[in-house]
Amino acid sequence: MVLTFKGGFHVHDGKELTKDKELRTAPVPELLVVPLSQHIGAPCQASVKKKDEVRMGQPVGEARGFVSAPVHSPVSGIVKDVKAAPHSSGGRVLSVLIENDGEDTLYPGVGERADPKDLSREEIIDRVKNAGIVGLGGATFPAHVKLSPPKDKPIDTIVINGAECEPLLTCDYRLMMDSPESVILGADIVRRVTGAKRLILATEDNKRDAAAVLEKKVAELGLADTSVAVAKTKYPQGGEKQLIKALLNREVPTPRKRGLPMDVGVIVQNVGTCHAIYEAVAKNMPLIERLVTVVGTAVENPGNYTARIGTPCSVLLEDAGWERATALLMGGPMMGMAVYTPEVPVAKGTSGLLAERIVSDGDPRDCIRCASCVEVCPARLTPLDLSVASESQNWEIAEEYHVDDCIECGCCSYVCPSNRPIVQQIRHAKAALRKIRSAGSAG
Amino acid sequence: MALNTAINLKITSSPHIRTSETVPRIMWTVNAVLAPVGLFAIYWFGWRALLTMFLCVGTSVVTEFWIQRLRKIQITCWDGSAVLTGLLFAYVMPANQPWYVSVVGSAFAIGIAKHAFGGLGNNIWNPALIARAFVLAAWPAMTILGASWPLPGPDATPGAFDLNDYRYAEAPATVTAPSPLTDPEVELTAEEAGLPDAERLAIIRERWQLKVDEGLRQSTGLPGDASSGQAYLRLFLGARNGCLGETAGLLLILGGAFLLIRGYLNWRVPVFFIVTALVVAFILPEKIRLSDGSTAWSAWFEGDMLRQLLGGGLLIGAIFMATDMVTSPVSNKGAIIFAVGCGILTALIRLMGGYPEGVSYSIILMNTAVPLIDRHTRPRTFGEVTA
Ligand code: SF4
Ligand code: SF4
Repeated sequence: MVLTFKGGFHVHDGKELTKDKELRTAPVPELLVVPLSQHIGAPCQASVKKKDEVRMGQPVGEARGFVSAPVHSPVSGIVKDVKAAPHSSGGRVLSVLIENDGEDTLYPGVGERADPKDLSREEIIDRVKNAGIVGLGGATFPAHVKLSPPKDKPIDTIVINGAECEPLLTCDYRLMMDSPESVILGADIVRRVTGAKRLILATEDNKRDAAAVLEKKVAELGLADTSVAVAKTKYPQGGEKQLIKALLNREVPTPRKRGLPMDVGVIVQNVGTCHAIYEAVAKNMPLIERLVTVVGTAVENPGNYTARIGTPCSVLLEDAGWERATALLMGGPMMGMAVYTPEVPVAKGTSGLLAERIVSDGDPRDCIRCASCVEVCPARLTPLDLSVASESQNWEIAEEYHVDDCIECGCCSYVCPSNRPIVQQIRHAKAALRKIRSAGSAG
Repeated sequence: MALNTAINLKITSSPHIRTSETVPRIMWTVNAVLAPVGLFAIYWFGWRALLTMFLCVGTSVVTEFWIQRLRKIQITCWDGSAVLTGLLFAYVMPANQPWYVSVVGSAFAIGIAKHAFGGLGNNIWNPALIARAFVLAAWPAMTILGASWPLPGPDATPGAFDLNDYRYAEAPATVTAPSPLTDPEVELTAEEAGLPDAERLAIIRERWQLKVDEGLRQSTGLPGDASSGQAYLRLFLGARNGCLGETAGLLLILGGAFLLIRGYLNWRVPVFFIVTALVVAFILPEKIRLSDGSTAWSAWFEGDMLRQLLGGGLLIGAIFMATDMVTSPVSNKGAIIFAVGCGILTALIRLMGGYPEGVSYSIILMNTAVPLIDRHTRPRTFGEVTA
């Protein structure tokens, strides 16, 4: 049986550019910029000030509220400043600027080994929380929140997302190939903490070698109720809801009803997140580095890097060699964000860094109702209607046509022969509706 | 380094990659697929077919150019869509239609049916079909031409170019024969008319059948002793009278298959359209006109599906007209409803109406229903609980 979902499409993914290249360690710069907002939820509060001495792994930003995650110093050195700096969101965000002393002196307790088996559920969740772990697939949702599902939502299955459906990105693939053990052990920790029985490690059928590596490791570790699933290679297979649908044929309820994977008894974690969870629990290592794929038409020597959080993108790009880029994207080509300066730092959610020479597509035209967007929409919407509703600022129609269910995967804009900026228009409509609703609830 | 820092990074919205598919590419592909049909028409109907196509396409493009120029909007007359409208209009008209019909019809298709509604993408009806309906209404005599198409028989040298053929007031110089779908009139003697109902009906039906068969041979230019199998083969290959681009059944099917492979065509539309039309035409009786003005009906469950499939414009209509993206539903469910509706209407108009041609009117009628169909066939949103 082919594991898949309805919608989406397959596109030449360009993964061969980086997938088989040996992992590189990014140079650690003299100045690192650690944003206080690297996750979904409330930004952190700075817990250090100018001129403070910091150690590697020391918290520099405290979580505020449950849905939040602390940030840590990726190096040892001196806090140069706490000020607004360029950020992947497009604006400036309060960040801790750290001058690297090059010593990497560890903060007390960091790196202390523990056997996860000896730790209680609460201790594990605490460690994950204190390590500042968020969804590393790009969603950056704080991981400890997902580890603490409410009692009335029993979890039976943990799905580990190694689909990496975005074209060009291969950092999850490299992680599965190079450190399968920590991924699997991290996943097993998630299973234990949530009380789920079954563990599914999922990838796509263009990564069968990674699946084989995982399978072998699972057998070696002798884990019960653990399987490796190979879903069809198709964008956006790595979307949480699409993956659950493909593997388990369960449909996460619509966001209009606040549906979450845990409503269908599932928790999805990215492979990178599992690796980070293992590091946090077994080695007391906070999240201070991650894998980043550096690639793009303007990059000479693309590859995967282990980079400290807070490393300006320019450092990675210089190392890989880049020239005449017209656009810089953080994330994949389908859902990534364009940034306006290479000084933006690598953050927890930065899975890819793309320097592209993009040729303009020409102007959008009227919709010719070709229905391509309807065919590919994994949320099963009619994007053409949303596009027109947004264009004419008809927010009621946008709402009636379920604009809030759009996962912004970009499939519709990708296929549109009329070159319509559908996703952009949808975001616009969502924002307008949010404004109307908050005005309504206030008044 | 200096090179890079000096650079202006563009901020674009995701997704940052796009398909190479464009509207012109789609339109020109459809034009290319229709080209063999046009070549066949030139071979079969002679140079008059080329002139008709040239006039229709040319008028379409020029009209689009001027309208866009006057509306001060981007000029897209070379995106292939105006060419396609002109070509399709030519294909559903007689090859030997007068030049002014080609010009007026194409100008109407682009000027009114397309641009009065806001241009490509915003029109409700298929422009070529609306233009055809307009032309038939403006020159009612065209319907006669429609019922009695030029037949390029062995006498009418294909390729012979005679300007006189275009003068519509005069009978076309070529041999004419009834279209394969024309209802023949049945005559009864006074004696037969007085027979009991059952016997009289049997005679009517038998005589009607003979006339239909004869019409079929005539329209394919076959001698009186030819078998009906030969007639169907000729229909399939396009060796019959009819509209310029509707006769080449084989080429139309091949063209449709190509578009299907390219992903430009939703197979549900032609398949459900054709199957529905044929099944209904098979089941229901057909109206028989008698010379005394009364009517009778042919038998149930005896409809001639092959004649219905190959004899009129069903193939070009189902494959190239009903599938027009702009004027057909966007969801698969909607496409099926739309196509079934087209099929039923086509069969009903053909069997009961005065016109042999139901295809174009049925598509126009169903085009009208598309917004309604779309509204009621929206796919179930992901995660919407089915109660
Ligand atoms: S971006 Fe939204 S509307 Fe477009 S295909 Fe994805 S889910 Fe559907
Ligand atoms: S893909 Fe573009 S042109 Fe086609 S229906 Fe959707 S919005 Fe319209």
